[in-house]
Amino acid sequence: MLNYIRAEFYKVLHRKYLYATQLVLLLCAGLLVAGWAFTNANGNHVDFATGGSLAVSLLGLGVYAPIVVGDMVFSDQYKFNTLKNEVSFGLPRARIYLGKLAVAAVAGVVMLLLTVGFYEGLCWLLLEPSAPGDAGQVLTIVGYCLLADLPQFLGMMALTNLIYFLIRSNTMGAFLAVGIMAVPPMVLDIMSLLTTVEGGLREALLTLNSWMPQNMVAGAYKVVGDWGFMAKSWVLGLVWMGVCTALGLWAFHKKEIN
Amino acid sequence: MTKPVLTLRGLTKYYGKTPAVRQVDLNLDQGQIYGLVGRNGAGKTTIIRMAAGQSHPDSGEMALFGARDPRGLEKARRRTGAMVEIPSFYPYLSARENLEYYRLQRGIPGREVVEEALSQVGLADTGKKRFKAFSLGMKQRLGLALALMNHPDFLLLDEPINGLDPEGIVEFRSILQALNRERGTTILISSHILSELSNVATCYGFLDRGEMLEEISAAALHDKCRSCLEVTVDNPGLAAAALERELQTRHFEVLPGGHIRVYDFLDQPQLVTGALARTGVAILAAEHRTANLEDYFLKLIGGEDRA
Repeated sequence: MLNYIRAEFYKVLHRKYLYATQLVLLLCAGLLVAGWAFTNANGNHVDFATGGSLAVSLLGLGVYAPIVVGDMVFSDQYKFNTLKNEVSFGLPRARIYLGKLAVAAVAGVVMLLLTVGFYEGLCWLLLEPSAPGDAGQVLTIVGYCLLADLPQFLGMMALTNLIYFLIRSNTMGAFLAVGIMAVPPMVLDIMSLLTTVEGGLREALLTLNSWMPQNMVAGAYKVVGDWGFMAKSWVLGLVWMGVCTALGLWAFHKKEIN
Repeated sequence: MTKPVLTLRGLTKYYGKTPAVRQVDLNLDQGQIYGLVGRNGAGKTTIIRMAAGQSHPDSGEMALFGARDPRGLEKARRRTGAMVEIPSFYPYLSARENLEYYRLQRGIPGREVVEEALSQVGLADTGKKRFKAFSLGMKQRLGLALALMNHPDFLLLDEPINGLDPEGIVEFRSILQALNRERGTTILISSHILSELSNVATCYGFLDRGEMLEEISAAALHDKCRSCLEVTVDNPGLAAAALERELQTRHFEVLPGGHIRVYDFLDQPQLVTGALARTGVAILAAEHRTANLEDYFLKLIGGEDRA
């Protein structure tokens, strides 16, 4: 497995895709902070505590990031027909599947930490300083949210890995992944709104909706320090990971490689 | 005693309701170069894909280096090199980077194996040129380099000379023959270019419509494809009787269209034509023929109209 992971990193690190994606993320973070610094120069007042803690609201986008990172690692294997080189050498299909998932997860986490770190660093450098206690509080909020959101991101990484292994076109796969991530919370939201009777079904719909990855990520900053929420997030994320990985392994074992 | 490398028993594969391979038996022993012969859609690629683990048989048994269970087959495949259909690599990597990626993935020690493999197939000087800029011939060479990189005991090659120029075909043949001779590498090779196949194969399997029609050694095939005198006459029945009576031979066969193939008296054709002329048979044509692999294959599958 280590050889497989080494090879996947070799491939990913030899692609411009990785560097371009990371650059775009850093540029976006840089532009945002530079924008605040510019408004500060014109009379606004965004300090480090305000700007830095806003990072947690941007983490919601991280749910969709696995679509890009998964694509980067899976590398259009069906389009280029390269999976046959791996299978015909006798590499176990489980190793291929889990190896790509592991590399995508590690690459995704590193990119996330780099981006958040860069953002917080820029906020520290460019925005007005806040009270010493506030700065520590920002780091606590961001740290808690990152830790609580991580299993959700990993769950979505497992989902996109499953989709990329099942669907020949990565573009179609990406659309499907967005659909699976975005549509169920909306449907549950609408259903709960239409269910006028309090309790019972409405409660169940609302609870189910709150367990959706986007909502878990969106809710983390409201409950900073709540370790019950943290545990729930990890359990849900690991369930997503476990179910998607089991399904993907089963399907990939049966798949014909053309 | 030779050891079996690949053995197939009753291997069957359907694509939907269409049978791609039906009840195929195949025996490939260590050190052999096995030529898989068949028309498009005969099932050659499907057999190679199943042997390479890319496709799952619907029924039947497969043994690779004696291993039959899925895990054993996976391990056995690490002793193989495969080149199935058009070689596929990452287009944004160079030849060297592509091979390095697979070297790392397969845990092959020593970076020098990449250079060795590239030199072996004549791609050592491709530099940073990316795979997407390669010609078909270069892609074929890189595919072969990947198949050879782990010094396999068994090579699975599906139409490997497609796209190679004449010089490349000769080089390719030399590489295969050297591997077989020096390392005892067993090779399963399919090709449409039967003349080229006949230059390397030591045994053949003839496939048609997913069925194995015949397995035969090159020596036995050579014997069957022996030289003959083909005479075209107006009355084949009378001619056959004349050959038996006048020349006391039964080493001939009567073919449709008034053709008779005589396998005796090749260095004295005048004896044959003289015997026929004395019996009053009109000789329309006479020529010395040597049947080749292509003729044999066409005859086996039922005539040129089916080829």
